[in-house]
Amino acid sequence: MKRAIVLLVALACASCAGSASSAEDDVVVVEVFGEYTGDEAAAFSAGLAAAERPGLDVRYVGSTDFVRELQRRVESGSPPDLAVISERGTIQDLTLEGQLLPLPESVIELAPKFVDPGQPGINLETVAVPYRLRINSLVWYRTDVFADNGWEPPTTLDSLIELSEQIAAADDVAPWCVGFGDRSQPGWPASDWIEDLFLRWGGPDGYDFWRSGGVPFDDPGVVAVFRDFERLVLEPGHTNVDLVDDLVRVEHRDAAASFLAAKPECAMYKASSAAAAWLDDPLRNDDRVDAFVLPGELPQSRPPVTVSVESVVRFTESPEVLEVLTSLATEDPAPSWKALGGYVPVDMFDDPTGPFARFVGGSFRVDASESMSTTQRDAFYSTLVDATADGFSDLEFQLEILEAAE
Amino acid sequence: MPNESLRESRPMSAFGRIFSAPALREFVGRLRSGQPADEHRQAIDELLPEGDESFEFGVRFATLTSLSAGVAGFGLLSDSGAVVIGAMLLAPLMTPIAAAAGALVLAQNRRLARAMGYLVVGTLVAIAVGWVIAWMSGVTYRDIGELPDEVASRTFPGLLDLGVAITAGAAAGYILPRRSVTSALPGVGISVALVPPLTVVGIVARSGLWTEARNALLLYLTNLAAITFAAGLMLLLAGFRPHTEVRLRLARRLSLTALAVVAVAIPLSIHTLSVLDEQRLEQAVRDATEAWDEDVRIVSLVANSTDGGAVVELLVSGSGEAQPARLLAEGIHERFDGPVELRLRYQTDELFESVVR
Repeated sequence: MKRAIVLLVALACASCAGSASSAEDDVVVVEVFGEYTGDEAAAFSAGLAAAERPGLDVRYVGSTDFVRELQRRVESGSPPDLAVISERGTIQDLTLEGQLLPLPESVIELAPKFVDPGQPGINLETVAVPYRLRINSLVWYRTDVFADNGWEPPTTLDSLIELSEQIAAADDVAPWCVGFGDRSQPGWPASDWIEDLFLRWGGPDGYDFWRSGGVPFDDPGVVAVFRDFERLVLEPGHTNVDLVDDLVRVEHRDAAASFLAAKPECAMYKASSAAAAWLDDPLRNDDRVDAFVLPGELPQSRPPVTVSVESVVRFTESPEVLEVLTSLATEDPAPSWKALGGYVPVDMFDDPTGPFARFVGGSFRVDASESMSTTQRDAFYSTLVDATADGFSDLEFQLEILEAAE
Repeated sequence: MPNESLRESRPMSAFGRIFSAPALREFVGRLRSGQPADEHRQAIDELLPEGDESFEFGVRFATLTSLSAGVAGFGLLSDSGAVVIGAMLLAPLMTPIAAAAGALVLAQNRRLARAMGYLVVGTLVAIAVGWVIAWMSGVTYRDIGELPDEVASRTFPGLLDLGVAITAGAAAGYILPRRSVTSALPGVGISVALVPPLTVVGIVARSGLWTEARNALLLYLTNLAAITFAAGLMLLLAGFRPHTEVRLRLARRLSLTALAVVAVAIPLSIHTLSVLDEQRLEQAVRDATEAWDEDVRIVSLVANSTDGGAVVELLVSGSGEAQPARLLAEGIHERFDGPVELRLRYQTDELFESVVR
């Protein structure tokens, strides 16, 4: 009897020790690297859970320093398995450098399609799985502040400039809550303004020409667009910050706090559809906040919009990585973003659905600076930061320097 | 005869020897007879005076409770441990608790009800005094981080507090019937503070910090239930018993008190587990930080472990360039084994030396 018990205990120990060590050995960890942090990281990784199974652990690593860090990791030879990148120019750079693995036919077939209307020739379909869109041209505004003052969402760019001046003249709020700062790429929020204004000034064709490098930065047309931006945002009293230095120091997301406050510092906040995630999903939860698309030169029911495409790319080869990539290409991300908000499906422009559907219908173009090569983009952003910090006092010269550097 | 010798050499003898030890047998005998010494019984009976004296006692009780809560309130707000201990020595709440334990064991319903009455009054008075002092001082706290240490430490009770309350309650049960050792009673009061947690309830409730108020109240209820239970048990062991006809109810009463102890032990266990979890997380962060960059120094660390994982706010200072934060987050993830959200701030140490001779 005693012997039997000893034997049983020994067997039990052997089996538990065996299972513990095999569990350690057999789990494959696939890393997905991206720029979602906080609640957005939770939403994104909730979707990744679909790819997990015993023996396959999907780990999401997010960083506010994503763009620079990805570059460092690739250069040092320790890239993640998969990464979610918005910058199409970076995806092109990485493809040219041979860092990205092409997608297998099976994944390309299953993945949602996004066709870039401005550069139909440049096809990222073979290296990147589109995951989510961001509509960048939205102006979030405080409906309560607008109603109290009898202001209406403007229908033309000129009336938006007039409204900004009118709000600036009123004492209690500034027109815009602004932060062009960013840990990884300071200046990009200002670039979104320039791109949207260029799309309105030059039309889709002019925008495509500019985006493909056909229009120099010191072209009078580009300068005029920068000046429109100045009239809208940089004039004294037009933002909630007092010092121009602060415009480029405050982080884009942090500016939202002043916009959402019970007594807001501003009436409007220009940010993408993704901002719904850090504005507490106002289209669903908050009737004090709504959005309109930055209006065009002429009244339009559906002004054009610029978009960013967040896409998944693959750096390493293994069946497990392919499994996770396939899951990302086939699982619908909408449910995992439902609670947080800010999700725009990749096929939004073919089949408008969801809370952001009312903002699309006009033409759309891909974010121009995100399509630039990493070097060009850095130069563009830093010129924007410098020019803004100088209050655009030396704008023409700075744009000439930027063009010369190109 | 052979039978006798066989009985003596049975293998159970070691067990039997302990239980046949004369001292133990006498002790068990005293327990069975249920007769504590008269003076012991008198000491318990005199805890709550009856008749005319009870009004005077009530006034004295309310006065001392308010004064004790007042001292505790100012001591807590000024973050002075010594003053708070002073308040504990003034507090008269231990008397009705001990009387309740005695009445419980002796099945004296009327006395139990009176003791509970005093406790309810004392509890309300102490909370009210805390509230009034916070109001008079004009202090409001927005979150737990702003609370003085003396206040904050009473808003996070754990299982260890239950341990303190049970042992100190047992000490009270041992001391109370023995007048010769009543000099040790203040020790019980200090070990298991009753008034300060109640004053904290008032102070934090004034600032609308309801979770903290609830936790401080939980600490008080823990102490209350555990002291009553442990003191009752000690009195029982000292031979206190009700009359035969009500003896049956005793088991039911004591099991009710035991149930109260279990009821407070559940939230306390949850608290304790989360404290331990947070300690484990903090250690993981410290270890991971050292592995991440051994030259950095942790300036401040706030780590919270929630259902969704760990949220870590870390401020470090170092002399060089920061390593990627991702590597640190991965190090913490590896050690803590759960999702990690890291917010890292990196300060650059600059050394300035200057000499004036």
